[in-house]
Amino acid sequence: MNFARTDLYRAMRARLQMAVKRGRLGVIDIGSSKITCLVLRFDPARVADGRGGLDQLGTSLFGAVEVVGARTVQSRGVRRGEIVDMDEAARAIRLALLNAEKMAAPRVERVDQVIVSFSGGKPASFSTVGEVETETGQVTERDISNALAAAPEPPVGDGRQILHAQPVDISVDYQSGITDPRGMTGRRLSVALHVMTVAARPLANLMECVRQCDLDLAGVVSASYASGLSALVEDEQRTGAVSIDMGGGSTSCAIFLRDHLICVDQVRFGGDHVTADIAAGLLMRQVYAERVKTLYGGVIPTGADDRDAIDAPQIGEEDAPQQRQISRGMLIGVIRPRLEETFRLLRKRLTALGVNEMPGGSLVLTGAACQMPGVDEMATRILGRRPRIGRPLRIAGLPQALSGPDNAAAVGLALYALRPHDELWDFEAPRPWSARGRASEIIRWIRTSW
Amino acid sequence: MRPVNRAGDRRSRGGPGPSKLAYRARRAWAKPAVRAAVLIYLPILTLGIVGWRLVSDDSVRAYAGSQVATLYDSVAARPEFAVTGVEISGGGLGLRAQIRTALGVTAGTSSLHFTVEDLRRRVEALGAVRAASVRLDPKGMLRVAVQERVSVALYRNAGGRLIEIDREGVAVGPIRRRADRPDLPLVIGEGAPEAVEEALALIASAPDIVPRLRAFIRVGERRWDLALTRDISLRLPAGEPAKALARAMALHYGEEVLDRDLAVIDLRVPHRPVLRMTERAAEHHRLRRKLSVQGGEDT
Repeated sequence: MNFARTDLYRAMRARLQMAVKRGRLGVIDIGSSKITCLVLRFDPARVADGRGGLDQLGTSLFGAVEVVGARTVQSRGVRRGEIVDMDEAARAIRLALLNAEKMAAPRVERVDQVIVSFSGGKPASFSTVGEVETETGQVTERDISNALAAAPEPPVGDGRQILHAQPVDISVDYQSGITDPRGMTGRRLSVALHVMTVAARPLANLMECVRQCDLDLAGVVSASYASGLSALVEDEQRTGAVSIDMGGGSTSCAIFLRDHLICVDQVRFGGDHVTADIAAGLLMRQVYAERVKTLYGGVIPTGADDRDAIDAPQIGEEDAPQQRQISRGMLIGVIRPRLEETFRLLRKRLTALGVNEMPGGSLVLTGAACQMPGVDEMATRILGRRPRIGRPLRIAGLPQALSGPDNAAAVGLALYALRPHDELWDFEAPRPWSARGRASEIIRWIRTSW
Repeated sequence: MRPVNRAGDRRSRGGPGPSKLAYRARRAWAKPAVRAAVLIYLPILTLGIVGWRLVSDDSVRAYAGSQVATLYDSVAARPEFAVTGVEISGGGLGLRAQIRTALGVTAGTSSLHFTVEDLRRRVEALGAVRAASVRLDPKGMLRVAVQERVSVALYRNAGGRLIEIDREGVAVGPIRRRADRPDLPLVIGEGAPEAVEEALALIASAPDIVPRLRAFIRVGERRWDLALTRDISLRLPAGEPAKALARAMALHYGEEVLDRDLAVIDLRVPHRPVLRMTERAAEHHRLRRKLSVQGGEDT
């Protein structure tokens, strides 16, 4: 792997550490249909504690962070997770942030650093393994850096950029599953990396959009990764699980194993497409289609469907005294094919990724679109496993209205901020012996300390 | 297709959300330092600058001073503060008039314009006043009680001016002519006022000297010469001058020395009075001796 182009990520890491030390950070989930902003307050003492201590529920980590401000606004200028109108998107972000800050006002006056999610850019996952002989027979940090550097660069492709590069498996000689190899004795060190790439230009647009809001980026996190972090409980992350984030613009899956994200994939169909289908198929305006979908939508037909009459005003007749009524069966008939198509595509992707062979993998549906009744039934039928609806893990101070599955990504960002996984740029780049004089060590120490 | 350049209809476009300017203002306001600067330091600075400008402007200061003075005067002129009258106890009529002019306070003067301590000092500065007490009673009456100095002698100072002095030698007031107070003895010489008591004791011990006495002359700040009529100078010793004076009077009663042609009667050595005749008497005496010698030869 090449360490050369990770300066930006290193800077963002430094900002994240500073923000956590200061105790205030904003996270913004920029989705296609809504933008959620959370203002977080950290307890620096408990963050420094490392494990974060145990809270009342017995789940580690979450005692150190508290949500003090939260706001969801309608997303504008964002389509399929990518910015299409910079001004509009920035305006929506500003609205969300200002309102969240207003709610947080007495405790957190303002946030300067934010972590944002990125759900577009056609994410693609690669894995690469770097193997080196240890220099002294004992694994040192330099050996890890060397192993990371020795890993061959995956075929990122033109116009694409690495978003995450996480060491997922470290093995010394034949022993794998080592979390921290430093100080271990062994001759061969191999580090397996999960590299996730996205299209570079949408990512740059997102960063520019955040910059226009006078905010410092403390990290960009894949939305599917973030929602998996919060929707899956720790045991699921360890034993292996697939988190399916059904968003407005796209449906993405994130596969976790042994506490690490090992694969991300995306199907570019989402809840907005269902709404568009209803609007087109039943001749309705988008807003009414969205309303009908949210209130009466479903996937599994029942015998009572034909007797339920739903107000569904046709385009141009919204003010007419006699409004058109449709049966719920018609609505299901429109919704169902699109969701089936989505799940079939997803099944194809998952099969290609080899999820079926994964031991004990559980399936977790999250995201706003999974709230439609019957979606879990359909997922069972198509994907072959019984899914669970994943609500985000409760963190202190999260409003009840924001604790549904549709806010998994935002909460996941908060968890990421609290305990970010090691990435490639958290390691020092390996340097030749000649560059490692005592003077340069002192300079490096001075530069990293201040 | 929407127009790409939408600068013209900036207002109408877009959904809800703060403008960039409003957003920046709101977030700047969220900084405690900015809030403190605007709400605390800026007003203080403004007030400071305006205040300094006003204070450093002379016309404004003069105007403020006149306003304050006017206000003070209007308060001081209220009848509650007015002095209802001045009452002086002790001292003679002349002294009272003197005190009145020295006080400068009449009925109607505001009591805020003076302090009693100041008035007392002014009254005591008068030579004829030994001590004074000044009191403003609750009804606004200014009560002055003085102790007058009694002049017991006249003192002719080095400049030749005649001054009345009291028993302690303190000047009571100047006097134009000796003839204005013929009843008082005259003392002359350096240190004479301080020793005036001694001179008075001498007069008391020998009242017969008074018709002949012209002046007490202090010599060397330690003893008295008495200038008597017929230009006799009676020199008294520094110790026990009364005894010496009594001897002189005894000499006078026996030998009428004070009526003789003597210039000096020197009693400074107690047991040997020395008499010096006048030039004329000495000449006369010498002549008589000569004649008697010749006559003796004749007889």
